[in-house]
Amino acid sequence: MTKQTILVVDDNPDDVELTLRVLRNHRIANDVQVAHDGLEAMAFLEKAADQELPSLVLLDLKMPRMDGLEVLRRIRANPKTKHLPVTIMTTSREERDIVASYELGANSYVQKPVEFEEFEDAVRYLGLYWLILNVAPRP
Amino acid sequence: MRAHHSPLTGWRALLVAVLAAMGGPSLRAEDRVVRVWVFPFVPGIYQDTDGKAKGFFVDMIQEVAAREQWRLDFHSGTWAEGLERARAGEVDLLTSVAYTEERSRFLDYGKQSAYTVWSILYAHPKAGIQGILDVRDRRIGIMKNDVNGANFRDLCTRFGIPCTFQEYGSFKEVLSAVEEGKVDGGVTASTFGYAMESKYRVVRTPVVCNPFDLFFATGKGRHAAVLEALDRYLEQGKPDPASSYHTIINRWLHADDVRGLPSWAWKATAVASLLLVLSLVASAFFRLQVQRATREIRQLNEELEHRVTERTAQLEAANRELEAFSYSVSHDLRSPLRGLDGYSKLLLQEHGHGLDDDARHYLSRIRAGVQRMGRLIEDLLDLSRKTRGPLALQLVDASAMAQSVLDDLAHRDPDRRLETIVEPGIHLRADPGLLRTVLENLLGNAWKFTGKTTDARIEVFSPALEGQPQTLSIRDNGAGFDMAHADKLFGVFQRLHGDQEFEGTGIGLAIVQRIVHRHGGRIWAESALDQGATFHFTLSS
Repeated sequence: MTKQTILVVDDNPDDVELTLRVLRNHRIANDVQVAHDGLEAMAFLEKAADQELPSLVLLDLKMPRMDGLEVLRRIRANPKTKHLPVTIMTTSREERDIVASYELGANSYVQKPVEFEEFEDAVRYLGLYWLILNVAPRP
Repeated sequence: MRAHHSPLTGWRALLVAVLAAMGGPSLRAEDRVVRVWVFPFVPGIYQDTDGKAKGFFVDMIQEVAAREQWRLDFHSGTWAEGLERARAGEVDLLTSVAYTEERSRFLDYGKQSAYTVWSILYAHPKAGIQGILDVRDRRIGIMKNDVNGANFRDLCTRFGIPCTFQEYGSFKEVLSAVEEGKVDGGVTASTFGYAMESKYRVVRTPVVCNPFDLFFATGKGRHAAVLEALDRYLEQGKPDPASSYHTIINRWLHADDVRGLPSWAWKATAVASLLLVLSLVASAFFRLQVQRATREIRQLNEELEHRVTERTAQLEAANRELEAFSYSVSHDLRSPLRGLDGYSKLLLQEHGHGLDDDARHYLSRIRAGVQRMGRLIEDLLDLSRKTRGPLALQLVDASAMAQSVLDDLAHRDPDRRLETIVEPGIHLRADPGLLRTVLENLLGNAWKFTGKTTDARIEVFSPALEGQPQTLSIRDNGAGFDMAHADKLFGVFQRLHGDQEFEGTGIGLAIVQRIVHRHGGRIWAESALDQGATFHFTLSS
């Protein structure tokens, strides 16, 4: 069985930790990688492109140095990473962020809940769906 | 006799005078006395109110008298009297005499015509005399022994126009009689007429006739020298427009000549011209002022527009700032909350077994606080979002919208059993999205606060309130509230019930009030504890 990797791109250490804990507690992915901003994410993906791409990218929008939308744009611009499943996970509920994300080709958009139960559910369902249920595009 | 203009004549006269003076006392001594007859014949000759003889004939005679060294002695009376006195030798010089065969028997006439006159028929304004034929069977006044009168009489006889004549002593009396209606018309000489007609309420008819010459005349056989002197004067003066003859005539006749302009008319014209010039100057001045003012106004207008545009831009900028602020609020305030809640839960989940009851209780309180804070932030953002942006006003079927909201509530809460009554056909002019928010809040409240009521009922209706614009009312028979605290109803985060009784952040009504006020309407409520509440609102003033 191929290794299922999830790339979490988020600059907020608390959110990262909570996400990791949920994923681990519910045994969703074999491997979880973390990038703390857009530049780290691009560096990781470039390396992974030649080896094995992650099964899912959980992408935050508001990050320093390079924000989520720019990362998304670059992911979709690169033929090697064009079809990578990307879910935007962000605090923002603003219309323009939602529209921009879909315009740039995000697969789904989730607003990070404040309540932990809801947060837990969101992460679990995302993991279950994209890793187990969804048939991923393989180059 | 054709007069020849010759200055030498004057000199000759002077020479004669000098020679006469040098000649000896006998010639110099005698200053001839000339008794002149004055009768009412304005402006030729008349006696003025100060007793002095005046008129153009008088001026002429006085000029000649000065030259000839006569002493003038004026006697006055009527015209007829004058003729008699001349015939009797008691008066030396008559003026304004017309030639008649009869008169020439006792008068000597000058050779030169002193002035030419004609007859004018004046009439009473109501007599309606327009032509000679209208004189038929009328009474006409004439002056006694006056050639004008005699001529007119003659005229009527020859035209075969019968009329009666009334004799008066002077032209003045004739016109007075006409004015008083004693006669229908009166005949005067033209000189008198033009000079005096304005003083009487009479009408100058178009009937004029018999032009004739007026002469100076003396008693027969006497004072030939006087006539000669006067003749000389007339002979020189009449052909020369610059002569004293014309100056005198113009002075007396021009000023009073009704055919020309009376003196007041000239003054009036001068004043009018001055006023015209002044008004032109003034109007030019005012036009300049108006132009300046217009320019100023236009400038102010442009400035104003500019300022409005600026202000609008400022407001838009402020709005955008507000949006950006809310945006960052939603991110930056909520993130730490997630951490708080998450770690608390993880603590409970992974290490709960190691914690005692108190510890677990504290953690759950932390979580409760965090979640509540999250909801407050959500509501604040909602309030801010709902009260920004322009209103898109439309005619909305509020009844249908209310029903839809109630259906949604029922869908989310299928176990509730309650009665809902919605009056159909209520239409309001509102922003549809915002109206929906209002209804969701008010109906949501009604739904919530009837949660513990048996036989719960919610009504939506439009009461007909006098003098009020269309009102929408929502009534429930739920928990109600104490009216004493009604002033806190719409405050942000104000609640009239504890969290234990009914959940809620207390922002809903604040949002509703903001929306209602934005529409220019008002909202108010009535309630009593445990007897339900009714909320009314209008969306226009």
